[in-house]
Amino acid sequence: MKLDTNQIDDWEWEIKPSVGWFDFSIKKLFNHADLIWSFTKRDLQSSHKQTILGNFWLVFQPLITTIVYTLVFANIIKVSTDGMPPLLFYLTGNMLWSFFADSMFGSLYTFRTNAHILSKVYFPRIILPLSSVLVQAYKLGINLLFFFLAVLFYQFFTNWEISFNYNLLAVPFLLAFMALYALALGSFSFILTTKYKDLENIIQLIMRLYMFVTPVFYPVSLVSKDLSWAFWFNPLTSIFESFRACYSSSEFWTTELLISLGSIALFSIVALLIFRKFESKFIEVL
Amino acid sequence: MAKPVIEFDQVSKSFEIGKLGSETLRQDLIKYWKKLTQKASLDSSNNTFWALQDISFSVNEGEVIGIIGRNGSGKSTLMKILSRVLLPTQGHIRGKGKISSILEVGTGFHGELTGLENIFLNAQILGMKKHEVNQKLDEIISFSGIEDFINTPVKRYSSGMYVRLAFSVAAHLEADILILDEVLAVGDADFQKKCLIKMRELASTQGKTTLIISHDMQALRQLCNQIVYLENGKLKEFGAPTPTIAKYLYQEKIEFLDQDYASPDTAPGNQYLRVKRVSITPSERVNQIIYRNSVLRFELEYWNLVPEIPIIVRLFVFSFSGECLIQIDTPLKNLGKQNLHKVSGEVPSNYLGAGSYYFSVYFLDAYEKKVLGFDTCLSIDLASDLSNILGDMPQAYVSSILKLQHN
Repeated sequence: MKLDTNQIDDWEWEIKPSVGWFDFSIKKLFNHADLIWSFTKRDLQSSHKQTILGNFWLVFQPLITTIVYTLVFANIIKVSTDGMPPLLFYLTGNMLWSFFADSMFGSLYTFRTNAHILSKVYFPRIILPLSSVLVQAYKLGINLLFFFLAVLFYQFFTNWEISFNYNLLAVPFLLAFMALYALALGSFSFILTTKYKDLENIIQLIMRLYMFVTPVFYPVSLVSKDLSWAFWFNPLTSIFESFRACYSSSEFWTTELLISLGSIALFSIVALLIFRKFESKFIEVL
Repeated sequence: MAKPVIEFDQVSKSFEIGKLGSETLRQDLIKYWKKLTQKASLDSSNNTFWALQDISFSVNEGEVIGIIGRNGSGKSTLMKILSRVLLPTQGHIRGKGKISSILEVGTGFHGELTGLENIFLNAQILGMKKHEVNQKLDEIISFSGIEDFINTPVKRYSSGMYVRLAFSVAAHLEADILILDEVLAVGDADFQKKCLIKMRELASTQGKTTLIISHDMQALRQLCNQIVYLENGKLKEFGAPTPTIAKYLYQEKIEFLDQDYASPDTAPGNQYLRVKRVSITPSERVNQIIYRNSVLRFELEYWNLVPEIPIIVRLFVFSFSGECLIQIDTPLKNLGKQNLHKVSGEVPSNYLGAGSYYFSVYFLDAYEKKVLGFDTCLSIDLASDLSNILGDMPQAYVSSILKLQHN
């Protein structure tokens, strides 16, 4: 079994007791694009089989929630919507928050729902949360379609000052960074919660509170001046606010937005590197 | 020259026993705090279980490696490490080429999806690209033999159909190195045969390096070039199939040639009969291997506790997969007073084919009603005397007494 040095150089791969911090390859991930897409398709298809309304449920659910929000916040509590039509305001907040929260929890729980596959086959583990985010992106896509129709309706058939403007160009970036943030947060939470299930309850609580400090059903302008600086710590604040600027005259927070996107990128890179380093160890105790 | 494609270098794997996954944050913090304050490393050896220890061997290109060992000896752990599902605790594995591992038939099958959709999903999980699946799709579907149901959700499949579809995907994987865990034991007999032939084809004609975990010694003897024999996580033996398998069967007492009891009180039996001794003695053994050309002498001794009963002794020979191959009766004998009685006989040389067999002895009365059954009391493993056992043709359990001649 003695091998000469030439042959040792010949080895194409090595399995070691631990994974290095930068031991990953984006190229390999692209090689698995088929698989990412297959998992996404599986989740979408299996959730629609044997339903009559199929995709309609994807619009129906947020629509009902939006109507309830509109009734409660705009008509009963009478929260300001910064001069935007309440329905559109809550539709935006609700749509974006659902996308973020569902992607985050999807990324967290996908490891548990697919544990039987993880214990039998290897593939880059990040594929699972990636495809859960894609599933949510599909749902978001359908909701965006509905949202565009709603904006056009307000623009042409009502007296509200609503129309799409150049800020619309930023929307894809806003959504992409939200997806990245949710992916990283979900995958990182998996590392935290697998061994210590106690943390799972804490994370669920934090996410519920997180919704209240994000401008989902109120505008930042309502926050008192003394407190508002704290709100900008949340990278979602500027994303939500700037998203609403694409169809209304409200402010597009360029500086705050750039800082937010930067911090999301930084957080996500660190979180995903930690995930990559420890994924195998935690999947073992899943 | 044989090119090594995988090299296991002192691979070890340990698990923490008992608290796997159930540990809470508080307990871990306490442990960590103690560690900090006492400045002594807590002795963790008590609750560490070594599933694998210092496994080193290498595999050459195109070789078929069988992995044997008792349940819990570390076979699956080793294969999981090789397929990257688990990380080794210590040691390295180096290799070249693409690995596909089938540790379970139908990994990732989703009940709601149709057969066709599952082919794509399963094949992609196992590492194939979409266009590769497309190329082989017709082959996969026709091999599975369930063309008519390919657009039905698999939750409506019978378990047989499910397994057929899953195996056909596995059999058409494109990889340089194939890892199979017990997949031989699926489906009905017919499909099993089909799978076996397919696997041989993969291993022999396409030069794919294969590692197989199986309990089917006969299949391993036919398929493999080398056998890895694991015992309690350690590499006990690595070598040619026939002697390694013989050693394994001998060590693990799967080979059971003799049972002997001193007195009727401790012997197995009932109020009528007690078995004193039952044994099979091969006429020759070479390095613990029993070849099929040796004569097997069967001997039985038993006591009757009740005088004057008529008894027929019936010997059954079973294949290891459980089919009853042979039954032989003694003539009816009226046992006299309480005494020791003997039965003996011989299985002629080359009568049984290579493989594992087990024996049962039944005692019947004059109306062939069972008086006492002594199930699976003996077992034996016979090796073929031919050096060329590529397994490219079928093999009978029993050679016929009928004569066949060229005219």
